[in-house]
Amino acid sequence: MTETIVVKELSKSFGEVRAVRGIDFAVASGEIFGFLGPNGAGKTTTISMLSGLLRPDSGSITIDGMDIASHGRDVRRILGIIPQEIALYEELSGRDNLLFWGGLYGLAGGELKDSVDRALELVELTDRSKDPVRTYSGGMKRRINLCAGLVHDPKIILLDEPTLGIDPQARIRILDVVKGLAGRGKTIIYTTHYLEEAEQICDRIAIIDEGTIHASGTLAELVELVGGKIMVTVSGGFGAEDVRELVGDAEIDHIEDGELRVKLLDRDSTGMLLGGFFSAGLQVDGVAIKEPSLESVFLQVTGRELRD
Amino acid sequence: MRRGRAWTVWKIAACDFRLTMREKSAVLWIFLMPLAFITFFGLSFGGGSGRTPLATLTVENNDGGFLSADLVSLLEGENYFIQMSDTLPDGADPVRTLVIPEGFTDGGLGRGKVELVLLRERGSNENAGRAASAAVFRSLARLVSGLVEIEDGLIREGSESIVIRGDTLYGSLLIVSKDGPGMAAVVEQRMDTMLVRPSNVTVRSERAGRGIEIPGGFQSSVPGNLVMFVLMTMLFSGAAITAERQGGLLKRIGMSPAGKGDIVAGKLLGRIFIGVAQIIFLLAAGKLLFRISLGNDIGGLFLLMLAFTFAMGSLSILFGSLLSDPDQVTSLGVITAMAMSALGGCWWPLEMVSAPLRVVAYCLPTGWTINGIHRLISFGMGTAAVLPHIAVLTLFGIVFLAAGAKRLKWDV
Amino acid sequence: MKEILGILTNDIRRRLKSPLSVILMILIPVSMTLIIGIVFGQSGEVTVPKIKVLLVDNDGGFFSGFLRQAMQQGELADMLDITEVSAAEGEAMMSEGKASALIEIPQGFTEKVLDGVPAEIRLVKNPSEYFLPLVVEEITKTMAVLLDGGSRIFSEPMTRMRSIIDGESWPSTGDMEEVINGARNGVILVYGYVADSLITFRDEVASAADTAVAAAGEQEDSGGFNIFAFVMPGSMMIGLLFITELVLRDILRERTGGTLPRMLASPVTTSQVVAGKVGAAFAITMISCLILLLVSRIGFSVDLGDLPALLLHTVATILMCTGVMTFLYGAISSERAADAVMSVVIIAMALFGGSMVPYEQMPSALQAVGRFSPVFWAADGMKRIFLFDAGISDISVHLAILAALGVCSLIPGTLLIRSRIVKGGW
Repeated sequence: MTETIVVKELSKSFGEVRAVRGIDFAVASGEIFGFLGPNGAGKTTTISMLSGLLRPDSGSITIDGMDIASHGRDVRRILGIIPQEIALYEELSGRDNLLFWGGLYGLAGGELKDSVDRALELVELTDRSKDPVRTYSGGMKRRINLCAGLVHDPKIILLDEPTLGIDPQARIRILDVVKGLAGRGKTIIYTTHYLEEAEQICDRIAIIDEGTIHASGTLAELVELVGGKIMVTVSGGFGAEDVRELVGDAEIDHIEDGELRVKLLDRDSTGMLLGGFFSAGLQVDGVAIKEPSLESVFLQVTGRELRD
Repeated sequence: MRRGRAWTVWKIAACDFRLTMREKSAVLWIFLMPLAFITFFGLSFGGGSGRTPLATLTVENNDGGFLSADLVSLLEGENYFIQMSDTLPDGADPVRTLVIPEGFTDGGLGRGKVELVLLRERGSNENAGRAASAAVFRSLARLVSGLVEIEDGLIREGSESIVIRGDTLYGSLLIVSKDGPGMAAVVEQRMDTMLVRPSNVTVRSERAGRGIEIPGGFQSSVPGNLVMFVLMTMLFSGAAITAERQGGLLKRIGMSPAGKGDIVAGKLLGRIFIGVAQIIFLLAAGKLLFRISLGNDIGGLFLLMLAFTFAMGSLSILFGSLLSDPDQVTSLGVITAMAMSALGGCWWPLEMVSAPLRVVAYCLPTGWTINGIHRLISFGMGTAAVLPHIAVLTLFGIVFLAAGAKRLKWDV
Repeated sequence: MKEILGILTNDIRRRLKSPLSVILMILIPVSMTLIIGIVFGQSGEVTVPKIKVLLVDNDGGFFSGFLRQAMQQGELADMLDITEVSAAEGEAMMSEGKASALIEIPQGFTEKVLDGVPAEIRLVKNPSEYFLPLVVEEITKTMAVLLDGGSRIFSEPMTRMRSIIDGESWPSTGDMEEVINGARNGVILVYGYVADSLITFRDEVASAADTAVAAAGEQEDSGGFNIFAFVMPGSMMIGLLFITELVLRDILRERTGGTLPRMLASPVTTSQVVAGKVGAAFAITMISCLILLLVSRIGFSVDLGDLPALLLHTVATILMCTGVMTFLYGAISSERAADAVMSVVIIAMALFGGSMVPYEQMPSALQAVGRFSPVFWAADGMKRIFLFDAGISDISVHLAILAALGVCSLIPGTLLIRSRIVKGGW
């Protein structure tokens, strides 16, 4: 598969703050590439650089074979950007907004009108298209926000947290639209801090935190990174030194008096470990088992949980 | 077929124009408030009549004789609205009052000493006050001239009650009027005859240039308010840029194929559209509603105002680039608009200010615009006369625009 | 009460944390006053610059000489900068706006005056100027009146003199005596008025309040007239009304921002919330007003006059501002509507109330309308305190009207806002 987006050694600082620190990634044509990270991880800065809004301090971005530094305008013509904010004119109707945004991409006349109609159908907002955006619900605003980035039928779509702050039903509708777009061969970069979204729709995921990509690959590849092991947390009245021997060769993730977090191959190994606890007469108050997932990957590669 | 950069600029401009025109408050400020201001200030400075404003002069007549009555009628001939103090409602506060003392007629006829006082309220219109003073002086001069002529006539007729012996005058008109029955009426009648004679020496006033013949209050009120409101409309529009930045719209436009130059050009063009709509509306209202003259070269006037709109639209982009809060832009806009209007000559004629302040006026776009308007409307000159003005305003615009574009930020 | 105070102090604290908007509003009256001060000076007296006048003398006779001389002597010499030019030069200069006025004395002027036939002086005014050409016009008209009077008084001897000059033979002694006697009589008659100042005219700037103070026998040092004291009250009102409006708008913004519903979800009652917000508007406007008074005193050397009267008037004024704005907000459903209505209402009240054109300078019809503007009562009362040292009794009518307006608009306004919140209209 050809690589539509190639990013090399990309860095950007704002004063003392190093927002993006020499990241590399490539996105293949027709792929949904997820950027998973907490707020302030550098996702939006990366999107801004990909769209040519911010100039990188160093590194290069090639989109559809064009260097963004020298072909910014041509690149932006094939990009569809859906920003985090509902960046729409609330006074204007949904249709009027789409006519404006489509116009900015050079569409005019019947072509513009047809594109707007198609985009409205895609997000199922044709019925409300003549109402001012300010009268829309949060979910509808998100959908029309998405629509405004798609009206010119872009080849590449950059979605920056498109489901921020909406109800589950509206989120499902947006994710369906994104999947549909991918089905039509669009190349998509999708930033989110929702693990389940990344798991659900992304072909490949890059885990980004503090401006650095810590890991990237398909979900399976990422899980493999943590060894495909389950994470077992045991709590109770025991000392850290008391249990160290019981663990044996298993990899300890965290240990302190009263709590042990350890990576085990499977559930059978868990039973064996607990058996050891009981044999040694150690008090066990609780056991939590976490199957290998993106969350555990995130925890593994960044050293912290993705809470928001 | 996808359109190019000009189309993008047009779309941004059209969108901004449309958004502004949808705002009820904007429409009120752009079209209706200027009309209210023009009406208010126009009426305050004489309305539509070409004559000097009819100022009010209150007369406190403590005399009751015919001379004081003649004085009042002479003042009425001086284009004053005379209001007698005893007819004023309770609590009324007269602005300027002429106090005619008791015994004015007898004193005047008898060559006794009499003093008239013109009391002017603090803060009352300086121009009207000075004009009132001159008018009272002229009326008195005509009255005294009449008295002297009557005295001279009686002396020539050989009256025994008023004679000149050697270098001394004996007797007076007061004595004459008490000479016998009907003499007082004779003196009064003679005075009336004198005063109704047309003056032999008159002044014919006209205005220079080929411009307006009869300026009225609206004639001075329309240009000043036109400039001030275009300035305000432009400066306040800077708030929309900050609001768009806050809402993420500016950033989104920045992510589109539109370059920074296209965006700035579009934003400026949108503002110019609004300014042009306002200029056309106010000039039309000036012509049709307030019946003012727009000079002999409407094209030149439009070009001058267009250059001013360009300069101020550019300044609004600079404001929008420098400030982050729409409220701040609005407040700074009010202060800047006030300062530039006042110092540029929109509030009062520049001839009244000191020489250094006249220099200050020419450091401001408003000063150049007002001067250009005078050349076109007051003097009836053509476009060539305001080409330097248009060039200076364009230069202002380029400087503001370059600074605004340089400082334009996408994010808060 | 505790809850109301809590909301009130929270709003004040928020404004203190982010004071720029209020500061900019305070700067509006300060800059307005400052500009007027810069232009007209603290005394407020318009110092007329020397007026450039072009004189075209096509006559060259006795009377045109009289006019020329008169305009170049005494006070007129200080006022007018006379340049004699030819007719063509004059026209060219005037069409370029290089002088305020041109006086053209026509050919045969003196002859016409001597013959007692109408003679006309042509005055060409600079159309781009308003005031200076009017001054020249007044002077020229006054000259014309004096010339007319003089020519009539001395017409007899002058006519005789002309016939003597035009005569073909030498004049007789009797003819000469008649001329001399006629002229001498005229001089004696006029001399009384000129030398003995029989009828005099005094022009003075005063006021009813001054007269009242003087009549009461109070000696006071009023000092020079301070234009800032004259301008500040009116312009201050614009700033104060906008500040009250800004603070009250918070209720609408807090609804959108979610803090108002959150407040209403707490045990605090709607009435307490409204009272707290209105109280905050009063307090913040009052603080701003005190700052403006301080700026007036320190920055503009305004004599603040009678302190109890000033404090009472300030309270009444702020009560009026809060009341009127609360009432207007009670009638408004959205921020969009507020944008459209509030500034227009404030500007209209300020315009008619004398904030922009001094009330004293308005035509009587506008003055009559102005008395219906609350701004008039606020600004006029403060002006009386600043300029005429008015006490409480002198401004009792102002105080009563402002307080009544404040209370009568505050109560229904508060109830309207409360009802809108309760009904969910906001």
